[in-house]
Amino acid sequence: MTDTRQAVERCALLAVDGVEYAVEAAWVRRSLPAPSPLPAAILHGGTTYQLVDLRQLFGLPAGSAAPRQAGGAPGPGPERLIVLIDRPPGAAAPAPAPELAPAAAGAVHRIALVIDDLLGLEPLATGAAVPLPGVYRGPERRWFHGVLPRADGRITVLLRPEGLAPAAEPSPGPEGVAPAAAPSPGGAAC
Amino acid sequence: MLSRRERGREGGRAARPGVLAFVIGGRPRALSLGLVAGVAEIGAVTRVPAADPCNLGLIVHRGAVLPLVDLGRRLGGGAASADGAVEAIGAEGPIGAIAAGPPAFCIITRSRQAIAFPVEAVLGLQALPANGGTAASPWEILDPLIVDLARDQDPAH
Repeated sequence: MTDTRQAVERCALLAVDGVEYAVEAAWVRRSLPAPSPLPAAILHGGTTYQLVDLRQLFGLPAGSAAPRQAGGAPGPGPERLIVLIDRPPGAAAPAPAPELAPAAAGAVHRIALVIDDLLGLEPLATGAAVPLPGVYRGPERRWFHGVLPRADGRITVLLRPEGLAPAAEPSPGPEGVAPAAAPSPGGAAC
Repeated sequence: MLSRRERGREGGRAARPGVLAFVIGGRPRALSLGLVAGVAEIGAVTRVPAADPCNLGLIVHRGAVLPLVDLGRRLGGGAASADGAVEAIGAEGPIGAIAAGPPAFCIITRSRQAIAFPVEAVLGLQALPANGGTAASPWEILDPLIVDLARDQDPAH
């Protein structure tokens, strides 16, 4: 008999280059329109979030108009977004994944992810996620927890926030730090 | 019309189909049937970012998530493309559709960690030459490559 009890987590769904990504909603502080040019960090509520452009991190072209995949996430719109990611209060530091290099495992956990679009919030059965297949042997193993096949045939990639953060702490001081812009019309992500 | 059994008797020592033949990179290749789980249409591909450009993305096949691997690139023939595949096909001709654009079909391997790889055309089941050797085979036999890939996939490896 199949055990139907699976971990369900409320997740924020993000789009980058037509692929749908999910990050635990508890990690998401808010969403903002991305300023242009992109600064090195975002200052929000007295906290500095180091900027991580997921297109750049993933080696994708900056402005390619990715065609919408069948049932997939849209490509970049005219305006990209930033989601501020921070470890939820009271949450224990996650055990470093075996794939994480020691430097990355100790990386900062406050990051501002630059994404193409914010698709919304959704409870996901993350317990049904599967690890990346073994042919994925590069840095992607520290970027992603795994992938979640959805009922409609699409696949959602589960982000590992601690694996996206640069190993180095953001440089202190105002240089390269932009104050957070006004929130997007949709308001905060959570 | 002869039944399969009768055809077998009539053929005497005729070889049984031993490989699935297909076209990758405009060249005929083949895989032993024991390593083939099936042929499927390539549906939606989730292009998961990867350092290795051979990793084209992920597909869902019968509820399982499979990596779509560009064997043409792994074989040194450049990225997957369907152009010009027909000329390379032997007299048997293709039995699968030949895509005008990107490959529409993939072959799924039978291994603990299955992979899928796109092909430009499926030539069908073929018998290995009587001597069983690969030297005289009109297809490049990809068994060693698939076995290596499956081993690489194995987390215990």
